Amino acid sequence: MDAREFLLNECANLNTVLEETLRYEYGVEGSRIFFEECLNRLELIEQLINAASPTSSTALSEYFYKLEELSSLISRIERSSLKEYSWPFLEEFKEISLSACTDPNTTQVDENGNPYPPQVHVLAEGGLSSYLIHVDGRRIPSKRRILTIFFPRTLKHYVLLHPILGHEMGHAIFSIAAYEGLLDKVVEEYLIQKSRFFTSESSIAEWLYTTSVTPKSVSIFLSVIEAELEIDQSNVMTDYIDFVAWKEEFLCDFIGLLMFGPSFLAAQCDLLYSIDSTGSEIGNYHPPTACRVNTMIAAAQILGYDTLKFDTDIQIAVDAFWKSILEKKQLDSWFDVFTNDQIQTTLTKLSAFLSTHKKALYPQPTTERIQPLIKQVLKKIPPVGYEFKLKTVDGELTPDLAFDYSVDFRDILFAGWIAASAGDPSLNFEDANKLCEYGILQQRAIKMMNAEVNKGAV
Amino acid sequence: MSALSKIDIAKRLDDKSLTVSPLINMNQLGESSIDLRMGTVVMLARAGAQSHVDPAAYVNRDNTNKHELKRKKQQKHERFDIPFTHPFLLHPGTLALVPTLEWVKIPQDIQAIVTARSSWAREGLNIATATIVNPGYCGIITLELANFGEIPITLYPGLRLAQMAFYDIATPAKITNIKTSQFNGKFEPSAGDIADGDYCFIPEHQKK
Repeated sequence: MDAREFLLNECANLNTVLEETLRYEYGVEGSRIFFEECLNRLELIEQLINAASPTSSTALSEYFYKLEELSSLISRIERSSLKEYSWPFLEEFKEISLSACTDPNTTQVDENGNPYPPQVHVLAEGGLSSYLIHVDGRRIPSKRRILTIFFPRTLKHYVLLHPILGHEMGHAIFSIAAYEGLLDKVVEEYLIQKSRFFTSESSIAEWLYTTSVTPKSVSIFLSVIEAELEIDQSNVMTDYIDFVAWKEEFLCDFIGLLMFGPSFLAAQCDLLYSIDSTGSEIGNYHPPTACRVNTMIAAAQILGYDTLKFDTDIQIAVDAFWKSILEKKQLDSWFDVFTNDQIQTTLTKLSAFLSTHKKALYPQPTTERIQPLIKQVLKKIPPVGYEFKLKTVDGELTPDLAFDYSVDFRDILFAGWIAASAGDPSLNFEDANKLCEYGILQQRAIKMMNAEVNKGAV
Repeated sequence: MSALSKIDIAKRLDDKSLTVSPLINMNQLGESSIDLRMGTVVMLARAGAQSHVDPAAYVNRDNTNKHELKRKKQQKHERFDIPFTHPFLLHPGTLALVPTLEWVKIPQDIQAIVTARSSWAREGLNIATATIVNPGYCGIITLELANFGEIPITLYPGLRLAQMAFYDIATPAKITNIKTSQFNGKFEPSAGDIADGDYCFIPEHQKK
């Protein structure tokens, strides 16, 4: 069997694997869209291989990688079948993905001239740091993008931590050519070029290695990479730090916060500090955790998330929540790499961008929306925009159902975080998380019934 | 012990001493009951995973066969997520455990009874065989669905399948006296321990 025959045989194998994915169920949208999309891609690759000369090693090598990419995608999709994730959360998240991750410049449009929205698949795999969105490659012409979202296997039902996916969604948005330039300009112009430390590679190296002000924990880390990797001030920017990736990380943090609100900040604090407890590790692609968290805390304060006022008993829990967040802030100003003005301007620009995508921008939380939800979680009831009341009609007590249809799943997550911070020994983080997961499901049912009532069907 | 009327139930819901959340439509509140909706999880007993149900399989007081107990528990049911608008086909003779969409908190002075809605019962759907919900219970209600008819029944999450009636108790239980149920605080159905507290009647246990 020569290389070309081998690849054609692999096409047949891949077709079998694709058919085997239909053994499972894949949530609300089912399997038709991804099946047809992957089949189209496979048929296209097969045509290319058939047309190639058996001796054209360059072309055959290229087709090998196309097949490998498609094979990886199909295997990820197969592992994204139902029961592998919290589908009520994901249905909400998908709505944001469809809006924010549709490429406006795609030439592939439906019969109404609208770009095909992306297809989103979710799988629970890997350890604690495996939150990520795998963005479809651009090797093969395709009708629609396919995004595969990874959750840590152990946290697949931890909806309170899932807002960290807002950051990953930032990467997916940034990968769209139509948005890349615009978003890069915002970060570069309003954040990076106005910062004290990031205006040039030499200024970044100087920021890291000015030993008189560099925090001890950072200096220790730098001495470790110097001893182990021979990285010092002279080569840190050429051989160690990918500053383009750092910029994207900052950008995606901003998008995550604007997309999910305070629950993003809480999830980010917990997850990042669980990986890097000092917050001082300098990553190749990631800025120090403390720089990121300090920036997001400042951004949350600028957005006024911490200024909401609640009833006294609820305020205690709210204060405890913000206290726990502020405890994550590194007090050494070395970690405050941006000023409030820079953060404010960046937030304004990115808010304007996200507001053009349905549901992508978290609506400013209000006491009226959040307080009833917190009360429910504290009473160990799944939080939803619902209250049963008795009212007097014509002198008679009459049951009445009061709904708040504006309650967003991100409000539920915010309320869950606050309730989990209340210090009630009978309500731990896992309980609050489960209540919120069920609340998101119930709120979806409430909205479905409301839509039916509005149609006049009930 | 007397049954709560519609207005009695409504007063209890209003003063928050009773929780059934959420009622997403007023037609859930009946003259002396509340309709309960099907949740989005179905647990089906795996016919191939066990030859028969035997309380002896639950006896492991000396903790010697932890793996086997846990394996059997994990493999006893097949779990299905059924999103809203997706069908679930209940075949004749099949037993399926499903949670209610509603979250329930029963106060100490009330006992609840779960039964089928008559319209579904007439189609052959049996809802619950263990119908009593004890005072102090908190969580989803597990509906034990069985198809007594001769043809399959299609079910959709969100449908009102069951109804729950409430009875006040003459001498309310004290919180400290309420035994913690193995199902309290659950978000989805699970298998119970059918031998719990009765080990002395099981021959495997007597041999130890």
